[in-house]
Amino acid sequence: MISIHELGFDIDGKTILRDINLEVAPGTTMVIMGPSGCGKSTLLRLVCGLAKPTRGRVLISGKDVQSLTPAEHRSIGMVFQSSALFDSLSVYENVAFGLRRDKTYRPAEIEVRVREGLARVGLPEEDLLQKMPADLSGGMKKRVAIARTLAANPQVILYDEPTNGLDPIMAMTINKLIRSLQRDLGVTSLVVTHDLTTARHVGDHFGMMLDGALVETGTFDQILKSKHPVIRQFLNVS
Amino acid sequence: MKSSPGYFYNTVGNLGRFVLTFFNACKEMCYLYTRSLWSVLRSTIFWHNTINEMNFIGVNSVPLVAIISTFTGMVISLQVGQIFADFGVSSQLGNVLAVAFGRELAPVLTGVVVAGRVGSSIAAEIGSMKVTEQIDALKTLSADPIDYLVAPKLLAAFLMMPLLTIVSNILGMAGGFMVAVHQKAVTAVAFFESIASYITPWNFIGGLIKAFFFGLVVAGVGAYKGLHTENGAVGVGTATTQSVVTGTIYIFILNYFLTIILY
Repeated sequence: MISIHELGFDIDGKTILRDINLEVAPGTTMVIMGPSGCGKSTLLRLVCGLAKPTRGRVLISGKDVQSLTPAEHRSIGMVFQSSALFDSLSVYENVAFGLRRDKTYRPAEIEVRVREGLARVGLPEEDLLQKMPADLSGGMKKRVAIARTLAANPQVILYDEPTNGLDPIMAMTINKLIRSLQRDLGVTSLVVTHDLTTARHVGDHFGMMLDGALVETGTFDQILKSKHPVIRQFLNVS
Repeated sequence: MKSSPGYFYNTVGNLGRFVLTFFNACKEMCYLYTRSLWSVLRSTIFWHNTINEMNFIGVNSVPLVAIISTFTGMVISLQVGQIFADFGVSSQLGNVLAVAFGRELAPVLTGVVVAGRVGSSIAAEIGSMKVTEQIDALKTLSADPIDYLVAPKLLAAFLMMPLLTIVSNILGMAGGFMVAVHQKAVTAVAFFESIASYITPWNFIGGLIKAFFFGLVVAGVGAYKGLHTENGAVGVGTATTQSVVTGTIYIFILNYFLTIILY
């Protein structure tokens, strides 16, 4: 589903990513771990098509992400670290945004899908629909952001630090939600995080990034047994 | 060591960097304008946002433009009225006010007001959306930020600035008229006759043409600064300040060249 080949990214003469090769099988969740600033979020931006790679390419279902049509692009959803809800739009309008871009949906269908999406992320309350993002807690924002991504019925969901800044209980709620979406809807997920608890709960396969390179891949236990000194240090501190 | 070769090379290097940055900014602003025009022509622009922006840029700016224009008209009438009275040509006050407002004051004052109120708001809104990843979120939902954010603001500013300039013309003249009649003993008939005798419609049309350009400059600079915001809240503050300063400077420079061309 997601194939990354020899991916490299430079900015202002500085190499951010180097020679990343990765395969994420359909319906599975790959977790990329690593310390802050190692290039995890940049990797997601390249997979999502928000930035152009300097070298290599990213294929989604066999198609280069840079050449996808807008309709094909909607099959890739991204949940941002900051949730990135549109400040000027209500919760309803945020979740409906992507659906309104797709002209095939009628208003009544959009309303049904918005309600379904919010119910799926555990936010079925009627009075929530007209609230503005500023009125929501961090955990609610994150769940609305996931509902917005889900509404477009994506085949691939990318999560950038999905539990960052949340309390442990809310973080676990989000972890379970990510897991249930993969199990129930069969979406392919790529999660980047530096939180080992999140990684362990949501992932099927794991990768470790250091200084822009993917230095280790395998199961969670294989990562834990890595002999790489920096990985050992990261795991011990985490 | 100001005379050392190092200082010379540094100065030349900084000048070169400034010129490159300036031309790069010009290139990117040209892209924003052409891409926004394309957005309007293809109707991919978000029309609902455009209506909202017209309300924000146009309707909500009326009180500020009204107050500034009225009092500016009153002050000019006071100052010029005194000099004209000394020379015995008080009856020409209407003529001078009409030229001043129609050609220069109405478009420039409105441009500066809009640069302060709207340009800063555009930069702050787009800048905060940039640093909180909302612009990226738009892209992932197949919405082009130009169609959604930039083109509606540019089109709204382009359309509303001339209307605000008309308001400024009317209220500036009204303010000047009140002072001329009540404080400078100019009769209403003399005031309007002096306007009718010397003023041609082009005095006002030229001012409106300037206003179209000023609207594009203010919204374009705000959008450009917003889209290039970095470094979180500090960056948003910097972009906001820069949009007001740059927008105002561009208005005054552009005004000079438009005046040469139009009059």
